[in-house]
Amino acid sequence: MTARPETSAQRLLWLFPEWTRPVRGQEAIGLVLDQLPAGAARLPLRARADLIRAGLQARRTHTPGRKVRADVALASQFNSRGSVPVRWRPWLATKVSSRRFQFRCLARSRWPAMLYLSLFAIGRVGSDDPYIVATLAFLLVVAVPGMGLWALSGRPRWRAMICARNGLAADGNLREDVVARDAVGVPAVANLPVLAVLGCAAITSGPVVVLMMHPLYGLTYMQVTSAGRVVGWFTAVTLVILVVFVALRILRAVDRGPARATGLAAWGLAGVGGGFGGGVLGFYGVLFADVSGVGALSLLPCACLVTLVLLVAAAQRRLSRLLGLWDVVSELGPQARVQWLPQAELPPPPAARPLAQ
Amino acid sequence: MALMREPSYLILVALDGGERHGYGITLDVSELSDGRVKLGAGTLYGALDRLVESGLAEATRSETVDGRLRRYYQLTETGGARARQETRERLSIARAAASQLGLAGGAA
Repeated sequence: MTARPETSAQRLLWLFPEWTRPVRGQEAIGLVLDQLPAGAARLPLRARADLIRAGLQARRTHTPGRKVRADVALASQFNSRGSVPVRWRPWLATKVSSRRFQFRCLARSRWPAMLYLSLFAIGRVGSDDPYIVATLAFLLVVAVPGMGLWALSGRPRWRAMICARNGLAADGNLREDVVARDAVGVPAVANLPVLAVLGCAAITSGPVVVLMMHPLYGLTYMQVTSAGRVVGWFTAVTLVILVVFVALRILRAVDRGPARATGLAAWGLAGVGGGFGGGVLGFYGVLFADVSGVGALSLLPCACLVTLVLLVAAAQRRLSRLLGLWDVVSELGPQARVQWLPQAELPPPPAARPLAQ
Repeated sequence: MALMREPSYLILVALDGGERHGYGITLDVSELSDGRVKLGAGTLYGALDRLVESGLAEATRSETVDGRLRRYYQLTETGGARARQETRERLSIARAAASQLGLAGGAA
């Protein structure tokens, strides 16, 4: 058989995900070539279509989902993300050393969010609002250098961290001397009752708004500008989107098993945390109103909290149990981990010493 | 339990004959189905991935022959049991249908 069918088949290898090309890609090419009649001078259309189908099918089943990729992108020394399920370790091993992949992770991390927000608002700003300009300039001074520093010095540290969390060698390759398995890590926080958190937040945010909007105590020194209105509405819409996101999580809550934190300490912590959070949200409500010039926006955080309380109560009735923080923010609960152990033999135990008589 | 898809079932039966690589599996499947089922690379490896993920088959070894990679697969114990169970269920359905339709070979 001439090399022409093989060359044509190899040209279609790009359809397979990069990390599957050496095995699955070559396997599929080998099968297609074996099925050709002896002496075939070229790759028939049917064989090409078969190979294309195999490549697209491999792409569909051998590409990790958004959650896995987001976990890797958002990994940092301040959280415990970055651990992928064992079946995706080979994928990660081919990606982690790729500069393009590292920059794509940077693009998905939190720094660009600050930059995008700054660029969006600064496009609306005029010279009549020096406070906003100063704030946005500060964000640009922090965000852009932060991204630059990450690109220069943070990338090797990020790569080393990802490799350590997934049992990969320092150069990103799979280690032959380890046994890896899927495991579950320790949760970041206890599974506090979320109704207590939201209820206390709703109770405290209202009085904070009333107090701060009072003419004697309210913030009246800001002048409402067109840019201010844009920023105020933008942040209010962002809050609503976040609330919708949390509401959807509450509505889709399912029983995830581990026992929730109960007892006076848990309820107390939930109440204090919720109350403090409600006060902060009430303050931000007043800020929205002051910056945008729309007084009703001051009640937006309180309205959102009351809505969430009602949703949680309905979900608890549906599930016949208390909802915990892990149900709403699953990232706070036990996370999937790769547990890996070196296969090398352990050194022999120290020789026993005779007991003193 | 719902019946498996035909390509997956035929692959399981083909692997019951021992360790096979991809081309060997397609030849056995074609023989089992009297030439009716011809597996392409997309169908074969999609089905093999599902079988390996379900624990019914496993990849054993790889070798390179004439510059082409060949990876061998074999049934696991679970896969063997599942192939037998699937065959019994299909036979039962076929017998009942043949009896219903008055075809030769159906139960009296």
